[in-house]
Amino acid sequence: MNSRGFTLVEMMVSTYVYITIFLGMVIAIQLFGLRVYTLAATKLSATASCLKAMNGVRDQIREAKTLDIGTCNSTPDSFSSITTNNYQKGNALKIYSTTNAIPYILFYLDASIATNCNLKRSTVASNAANTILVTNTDILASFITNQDIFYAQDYKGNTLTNDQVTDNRMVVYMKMQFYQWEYPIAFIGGNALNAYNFYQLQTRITRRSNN
Amino acid sequence: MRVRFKQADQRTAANGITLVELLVSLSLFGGMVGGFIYGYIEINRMAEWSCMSLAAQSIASQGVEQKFCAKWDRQTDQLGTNTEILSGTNYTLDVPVSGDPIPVTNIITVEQIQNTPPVRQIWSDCVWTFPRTGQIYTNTVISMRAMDQ
Repeated sequence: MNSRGFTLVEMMVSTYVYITIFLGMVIAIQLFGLRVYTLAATKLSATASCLKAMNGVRDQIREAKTLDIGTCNSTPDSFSSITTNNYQKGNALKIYSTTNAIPYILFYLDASIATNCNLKRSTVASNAANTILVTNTDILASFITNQDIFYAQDYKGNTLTNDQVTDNRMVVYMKMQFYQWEYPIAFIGGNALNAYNFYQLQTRITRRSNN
Repeated sequence: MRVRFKQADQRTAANGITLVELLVSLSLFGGMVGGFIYGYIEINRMAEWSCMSLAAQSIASQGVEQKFCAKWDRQTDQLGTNTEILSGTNYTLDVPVSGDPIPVTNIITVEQIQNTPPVRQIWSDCVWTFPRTGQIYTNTVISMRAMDQ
């Protein structure tokens, strides 16, 4: 009996078990890989879009002549500078490329939609009749949760209360906090709930043409 | 003409697959599947390390930018030639993590490397630890700065 090896029935049963385990593992590996890929792709896409926004702000700040931090509502003309003796932090940054008041570029947080606050960039210029025009507005980043995005700091990292005494010499500390779906392709939990992941990016930028 | 191939092992042909052969084939298969899983995990680990390294590079770059903000002229020398070590709750990697944030240390060293004309080197090191392995890494950004900027 021992010299006969496995019978056909034994081999068929073992092959069935073998194939079942094999397919189960292959499917599990594929699902695991898909999950890892989705997770990484979501993080990378969110990081890439946010880095693109920060790169745009960085280039403008480095070329700037004067910087002004303030607050803004949903429109560029609602910009208001932070007054002296208050911490120079707000949701808007006005960048003058020359010593003139016009043109300028305004980065501001549009919080008109509470569930989706967007960081926008508006280019403001004047025409031949000296009429102030918003020539262009575009969205740089979405789903931002923090209200103070721009901070004026000194070289020690302290938030300034009066940038005039430093001759507008500041490093702009920029922080964006937002949330994103952790697994965009699948709902987690009951009642179509989903999982969200908190996320933050920050940078510091100094203009190169100091006075 | 009829050609007969001689069986190399009559016992094997008659007895089918032995238990040892089955176990060996299963172990090979298990090794292959383990390799696939390890590959996936390794790819994820490398992506995670890359993400953290990018965040550390950003912290190092911020240290340089901060020193660029210092005033350096003949009357006022805020830039100085010194080493500043920055750490604490404000210095964490900007990466999505489960659990505690990953703290980093930013060491900024300013050194005068030329006197005529005066040029100073701003050297910013960001030291961080990769949580999975505990290995310490350092990302560095170096820049030069002249007076009256």
